[in-house]
Amino acid sequence: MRLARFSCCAVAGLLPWLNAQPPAPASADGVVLHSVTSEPLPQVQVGFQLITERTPGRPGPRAIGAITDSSGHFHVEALEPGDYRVIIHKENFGVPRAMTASLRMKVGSTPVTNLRFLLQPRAVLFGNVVDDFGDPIAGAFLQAFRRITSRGASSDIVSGFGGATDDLGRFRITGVEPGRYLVHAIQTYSREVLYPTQGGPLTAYVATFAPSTLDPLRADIFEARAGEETGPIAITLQRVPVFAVRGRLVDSSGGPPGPFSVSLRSAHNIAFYTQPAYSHTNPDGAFELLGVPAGDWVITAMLQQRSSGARPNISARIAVSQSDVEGVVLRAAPPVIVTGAVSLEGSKPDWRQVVVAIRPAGASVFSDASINQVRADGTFELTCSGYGSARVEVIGRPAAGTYVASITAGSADLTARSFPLEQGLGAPLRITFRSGAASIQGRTDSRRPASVLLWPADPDAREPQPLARAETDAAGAFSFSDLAPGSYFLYAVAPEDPIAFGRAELPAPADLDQRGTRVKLESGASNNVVIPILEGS
Amino acid sequence: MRTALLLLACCAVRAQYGPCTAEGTVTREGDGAPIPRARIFFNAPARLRTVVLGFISDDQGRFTATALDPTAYSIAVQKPGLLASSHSAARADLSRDCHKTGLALKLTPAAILSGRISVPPGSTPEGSRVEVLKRIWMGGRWQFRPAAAGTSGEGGEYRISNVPAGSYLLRAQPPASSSFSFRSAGGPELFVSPSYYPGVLSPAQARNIAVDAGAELAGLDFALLSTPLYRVSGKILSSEGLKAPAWCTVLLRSNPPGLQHEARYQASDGTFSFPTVAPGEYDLLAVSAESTNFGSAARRIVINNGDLESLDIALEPPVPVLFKAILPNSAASGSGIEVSLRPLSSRTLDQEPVALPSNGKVKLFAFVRERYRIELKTKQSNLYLRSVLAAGRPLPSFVVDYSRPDAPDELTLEIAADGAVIEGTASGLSGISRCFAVLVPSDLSRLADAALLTTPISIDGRFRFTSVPPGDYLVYAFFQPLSDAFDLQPMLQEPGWVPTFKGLPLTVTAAPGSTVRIQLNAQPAP
Repeated sequence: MRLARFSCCAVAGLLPWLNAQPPAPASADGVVLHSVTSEPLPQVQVGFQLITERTPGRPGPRAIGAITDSSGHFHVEALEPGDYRVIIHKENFGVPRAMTASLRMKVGSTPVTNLRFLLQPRAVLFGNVVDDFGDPIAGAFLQAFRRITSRGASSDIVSGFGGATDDLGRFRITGVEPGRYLVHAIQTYSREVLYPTQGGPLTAYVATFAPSTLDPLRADIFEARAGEETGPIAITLQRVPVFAVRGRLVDSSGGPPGPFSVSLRSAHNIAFYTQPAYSHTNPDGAFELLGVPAGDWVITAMLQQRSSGARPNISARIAVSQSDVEGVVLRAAPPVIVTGAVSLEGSKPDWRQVVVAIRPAGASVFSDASINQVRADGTFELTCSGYGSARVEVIGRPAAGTYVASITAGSADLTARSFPLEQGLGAPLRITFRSGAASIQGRTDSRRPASVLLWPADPDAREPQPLARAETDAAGAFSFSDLAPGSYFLYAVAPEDPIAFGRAELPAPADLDQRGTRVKLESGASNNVVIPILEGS
Repeated sequence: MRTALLLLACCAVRAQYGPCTAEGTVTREGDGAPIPRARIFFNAPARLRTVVLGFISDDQGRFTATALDPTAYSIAVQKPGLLASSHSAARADLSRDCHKTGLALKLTPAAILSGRISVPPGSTPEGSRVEVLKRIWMGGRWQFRPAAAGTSGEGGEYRISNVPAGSYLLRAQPPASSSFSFRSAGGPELFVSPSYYPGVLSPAQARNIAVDAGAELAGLDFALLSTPLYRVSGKILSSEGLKAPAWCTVLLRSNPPGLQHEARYQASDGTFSFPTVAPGEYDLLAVSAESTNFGSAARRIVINNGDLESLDIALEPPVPVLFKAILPNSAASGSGIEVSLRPLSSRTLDQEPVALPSNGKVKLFAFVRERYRIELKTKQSNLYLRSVLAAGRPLPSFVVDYSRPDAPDELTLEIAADGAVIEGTASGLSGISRCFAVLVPSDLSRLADAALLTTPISIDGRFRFTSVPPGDYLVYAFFQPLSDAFDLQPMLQEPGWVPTFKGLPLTVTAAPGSTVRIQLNAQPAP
């Protein structure tokens, strides 16, 4: 707390609260129920915390709460009017993901009644971590990875739960949402240590998936069930040869780029990476990364100087095998600007609902994948940078029942095709919408959860990655909407199947035509399907 | 945004490492038993772009370190359940002896403390942070710093390992989910409060736990306490019979530090109130800085089991201090020199620095009669405070004590223009830590009361010191896990940790007016 010297005091302005009548406090009551059995939950903490701007150095506002009684009911008093965050807590339970939006509410001067909150029993993952000698590892950091769907789009690998080992190498990850997980350990206290070997390469302990693999596609998958404990999960932390990656960053003229930093991330589409032990850069552009295990990586150089508020960065994919990698050159070049326009045949469009994006296709890596909203006049402009194949993605629809009929740039049809980014398009993009979108409603035949991938039936229109992806609910139900009329293949895999786990390269299955479920959509129609979950693809 | 084009060269060149070696043994202190599979880490802060090299002892506790450079290394040893002994070798200088033998590394058993945290009905014990606290002198008073910590699991069980021998207090903090107060129908407002073993609210009532090396102390069960919140209120009495100031900041700061409340103050009658305060020990601070009515007061209060009301807090006028600065000719106009009196204890408030006008004279006020350090802040990186004179005599470490009746009310500031800049990068930073760089004058005999220059290290490892007085320095880069909530930077600024710290610094000479660029490896904070 600092004292402003000779601060000016305007008494009338200083103490308005003395004269104003504060609004009467309100109350809130409701019930907390088990999300599966719907039984009332006693001894649950329910707190209401006023959402205010925090002053640095001061504790946040205290929440006012109550504890549910034997019938799951709570009653909270003395709530000042305002916006609140509701905090609900009971050991071994958590708020279902779909309910988190309901935990913010506005309280006025009248009582808030009949609130209903659900708590979901959580699971526990437990186990132990040892090193390559079988000795327990204390202080290893554990993460449980589960694939979820973000904003209805293709799934991302995220880590929502973690823990650490004790001095005996044991861990317990509690409060885990039911689902299927990969579990991964990393040694924190000596992650930057390199171990020389006699006559061999340097080695280091690296992030390891249960039971003892660096490759998430080979890792064991563990099912966390509500109210149950899963384990023991045994992880043997791997010590593997590590190598150096050296190179140079140059700007478009070949000159030094100025101060910058470099980082590495896994080329797998999984939200983790093993940070190399050391990262050194020089303003003349030379860089060196030490302690990099073999594998596919994306190296990113980030320039210190800022341009238009954005920090320029340059990314590229590299492969590290059994030796150091020398002579990597990252070259900055002018960005690619894509302009275009959208049109709709028929209905009146609301272009504010439409967003156009340029995304990497296949194994391409972009420094910045651009996304921008279409303007009211139907035009748009994107700026992106990267190398390799790119594709146009259109998110949202200008009117109900419309679909993307075509995406062209001059004579090139990009509707289901990628284009080489560094060459640009050569012509503005034209995106045409039409009315008469079709949809698919379906479920898996076993009524189990799955990831459902959609490909065009025409092999010539087929890209390695699916046209669309949908996650089923717990009972296996899914839907696709806003589809162009035509024929498609549906292909369902278990949620944690390696293909569904977000692998960047998704080969269209060789037997898609035999094992996938074909669907023919007419204009404006909705088809119902039941499809099998294909195992072991 | 820029595109990238990747060109790969296919030649593979393995990293070159040094020709030196070091051999030794890892044994248990006391009985000398060999420690197999201990990890030995060699860290050379002085070597540009060096890495931390690790080696593993064999079944007889022997190790051979290879690929070392001919430079000085600090050595750390790790084995779960054991701690480095104070008698363990911590350094090896290979600059003169490239093949060192006979390194004796000793480990001593670490203690384990375990127990169960219980909580009031309706609260959950899981996630309570349990800290093993040792007393340190910092900020002009005894405070507590965690020597080890753990988090309680389901059911409230906790287990804290790697505890050095010593005397400690145990403290449990409720999980974040318990940070709200409860009111049952018609009942008082209750709050789950941090507590100390064996289940008390105040460290003064806590029981000291004596921990021997290697001991396993189980059954250290205690409860988080549900406490009523109390009201603290009173009246500000202005100095010299004047009416209460129209504006006054009244604060309650907890002891140990962690909580701060600000009172509602009524200028009409000078009354203040804190409506909901948990029991404990606090410093009550009142400061008014009106142009015609200013003063301050500090008082230690203890809240036990009832409201504290009718406190009369009499403001005392501050001590005016006139500063006269001797500016070098090279000080640019607009160099933005600011002077401040920084309190050495937390029983008063920091003040905003005051700009030094062109005539070099400014008056500041010492609110609360405590010890202060005179500090200079400037935009010009070569300016620094060379000395502070009171009646022609230099003040050691620029510290003045205004609790003494003979404290000087006029001080002369000698500002020099040959300061240096030290900038650099620290490597080996864990991705989940806070990081600081520290400059320690290499003449350790002059450390008492000195303020060490510290600066945060950015996420990409960069740091910069400006206005560095010329001289020789030891430079350290430290990291602190984010899970350690202790406010490390103030501790690093006080020299108390320096004499016993065993890590290896980088030695730097800051020549007058120079810019020194360095690279060093980070190490765990003391």
